[in-house]
Amino acid sequence: MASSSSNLISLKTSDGTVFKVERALAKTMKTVQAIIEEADANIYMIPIHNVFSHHMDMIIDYYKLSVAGKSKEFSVEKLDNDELKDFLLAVHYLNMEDLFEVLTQAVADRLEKKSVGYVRKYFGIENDFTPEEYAAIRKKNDWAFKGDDIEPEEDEEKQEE
Amino acid sequence: MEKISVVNLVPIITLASLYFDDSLLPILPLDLIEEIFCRLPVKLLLQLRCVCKSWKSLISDPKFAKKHLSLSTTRHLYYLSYSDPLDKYIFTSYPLHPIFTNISVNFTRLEFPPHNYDGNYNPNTSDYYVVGCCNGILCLADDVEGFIILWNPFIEKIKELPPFQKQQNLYHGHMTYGFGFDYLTDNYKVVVLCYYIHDDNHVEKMEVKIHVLGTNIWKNIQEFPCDVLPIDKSGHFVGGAINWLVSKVSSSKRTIVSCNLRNESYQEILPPNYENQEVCYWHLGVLRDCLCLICGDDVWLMKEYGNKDSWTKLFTIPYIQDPRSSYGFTKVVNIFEDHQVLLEYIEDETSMRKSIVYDFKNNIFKFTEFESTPEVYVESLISPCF
Repeated sequence: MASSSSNLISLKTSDGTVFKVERALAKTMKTVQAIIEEADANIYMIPIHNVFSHHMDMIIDYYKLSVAGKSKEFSVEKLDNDELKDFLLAVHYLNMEDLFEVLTQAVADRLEKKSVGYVRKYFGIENDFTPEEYAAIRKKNDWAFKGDDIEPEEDEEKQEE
Repeated sequence: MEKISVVNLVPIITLASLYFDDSLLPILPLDLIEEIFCRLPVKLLLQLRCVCKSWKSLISDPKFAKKHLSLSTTRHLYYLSYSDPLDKYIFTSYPLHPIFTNISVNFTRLEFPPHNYDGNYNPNTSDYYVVGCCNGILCLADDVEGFIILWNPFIEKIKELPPFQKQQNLYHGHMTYGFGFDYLTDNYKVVVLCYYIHDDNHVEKMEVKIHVLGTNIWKNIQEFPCDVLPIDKSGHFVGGAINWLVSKVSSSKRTIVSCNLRNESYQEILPPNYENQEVCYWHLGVLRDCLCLICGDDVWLMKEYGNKDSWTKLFTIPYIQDPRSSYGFTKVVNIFEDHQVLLEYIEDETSMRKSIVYDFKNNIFKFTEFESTPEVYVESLISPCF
């Protein structure tokens, strides 16, 4: 078990910035925790690939709020869709349970009332069904495609061509 | 070319090469997408099955359905009604929260039987009512024909249970049902109590049968205690058991008898003490996964299942000024923010069931405009067809 004389762990982000964080915060990052536990000697600096300094800023914000019992005040509203996905990937890599739940819920909240076309674009997915397969799936549970809250799907027209 | 030695303590996967496409937009891996899907409503998930093959596989997987259910916190309201012109039952569902606001609500209406149905339902003879709802699956029973079906309206999957053996002498026969989930075996069970009341009020044969979903038989279990008669048409699933409000044959005193779905044994659940029990009507229901007992105008909640001392009186319903008719309260559908309840009552004159919202902290009433009293449920992708 690595021993450290200080209670701070140094984390180096992909863009070269070093963050000195409390051991307790590093513990919430299971990936980092695993690195610390596997090391025989003292760790000087832990590189966290694919995590950038703007991610760390938000992670530290969330940590401070949750320590103060105010984790509900943490918001990702100001992030656009790509920034949110990017942040989610970073938190997923670091394996941080609580923040990961917050972010997956945030993405789900953004997608909840959207159309299939929107969600497809959001995740960048190509349709790999044949027109016949697609029609068959649409027919099954077709009630789900009707209703006032359904937005028209842009690529529906393309399928019928 | 310079050799770059990289000292790593743990092999670190470079996400950049895996998850970024040419335009450097982040692409999420499927396991991450699954976590997001677990937090989406069922209707959207059904639509997302047509996006691509891997999504269709994921969403159609029973394991995913279970994971989605376990993370589900959103509750909805539903009611089942019958449409004469269509000859069908209509399942209407809507979100829980807009009750107190005048926001127009998104209704979802689903029919039974659905268009691809080829089962036993006969609009001329079938008469279904709701036994219960568990994990998004409705259990409907038709007393007359002895049919029971399990139905998840969202995914339009119906399971018709094998008919249970009906005794002769049906004229005096009564049945009451229960539907619940056995956590140990991760499976659903339906319970039927069959009994016969002779003219002299003598109760005969409280036969009890259990059907385990996935088998094709009804199994006889230990007979129900014979000194009590069930009051309700269906029992309530709480604490891993089906709970029935019963009255003792000898004294007409009321109590609760439960049938544990795991070990199939019976237990008496003692209600709160009342001296003059016979004076008022009692109704048993479920509120926030606890047994809820309405004794006249008092509403009690059993906070700890099976523990008589945990019966807590939530509130007493005061007299509501309504010159039209006298009424009796029958059900607490839901409690909002710990002090507002959606209550069902029956108008004595018309026998119509209506609902009312009562804030017992501030003593405010509001009549609602629901067609039928709704029930609370959780939507799911779980299929009753194994």
